[in-house]
Amino acid sequence: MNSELKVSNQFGELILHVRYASGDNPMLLTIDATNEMKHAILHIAGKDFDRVVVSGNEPHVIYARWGAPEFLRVLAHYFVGNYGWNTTVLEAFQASTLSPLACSGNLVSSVGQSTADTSPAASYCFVASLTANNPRRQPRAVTNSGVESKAVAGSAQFGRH
Amino acid sequence: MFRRWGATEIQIFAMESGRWVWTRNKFGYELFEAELPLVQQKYREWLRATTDTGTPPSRISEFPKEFLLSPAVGMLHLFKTL
Repeated sequence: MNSELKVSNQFGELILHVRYASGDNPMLLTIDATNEMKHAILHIAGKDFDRVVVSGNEPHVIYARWGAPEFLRVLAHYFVGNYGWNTTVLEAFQASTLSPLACSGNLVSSVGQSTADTSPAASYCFVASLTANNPRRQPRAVTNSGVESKAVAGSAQFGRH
Repeated sequence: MFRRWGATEIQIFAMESGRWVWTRNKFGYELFEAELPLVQQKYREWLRATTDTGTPPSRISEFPKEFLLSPAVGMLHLFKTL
């Protein structure tokens, strides 16, 4: 399935336009972008997308497997939620039919579509919810697959190495 | 402790005041390669909105405090190799 993402900044200027092909041979092609966004896409393409965004003061894991149909939609959610950009996703369900999905502002939904065994078993990802009152509060752990899990004992010392 | 668990890298998502705290050099965290250009893009917009001039730094620790503490960016995805 082919889809396209357009991202515009707070001044209404287009800063990114990409085309994405999901499936066995996924592709993320930059059609138009600022230099910064071009560089970002170079690093985003080819990898599973695994981030955290804040919604209602709560962190939410968002995840999309590289090649999955929802990859561009998840990317759009991240751009809206973390950077406040406006996004439009055009999804081609058939060859000649494009269905626009627009999102903007600060609304973010958790779209964790996690699958297992996407990360090496030896890798760990620790997530800390850092608040204004206490940057070390609310330590959390994320499993290898990016799914939020229970807090890790002793992680109150998190980040103090 | 993390090394004993077999971890080779620590990743954190810094928010609110943590965007300034955890990006100080003494903690040794860096911004992921994919995130730096996004933050730089946002910094350019922030500069425009604040009628300031300048170019985006190449390291997260070099961004001004006012930008990091502003709501321009939600979370910063940082990592440190053990």
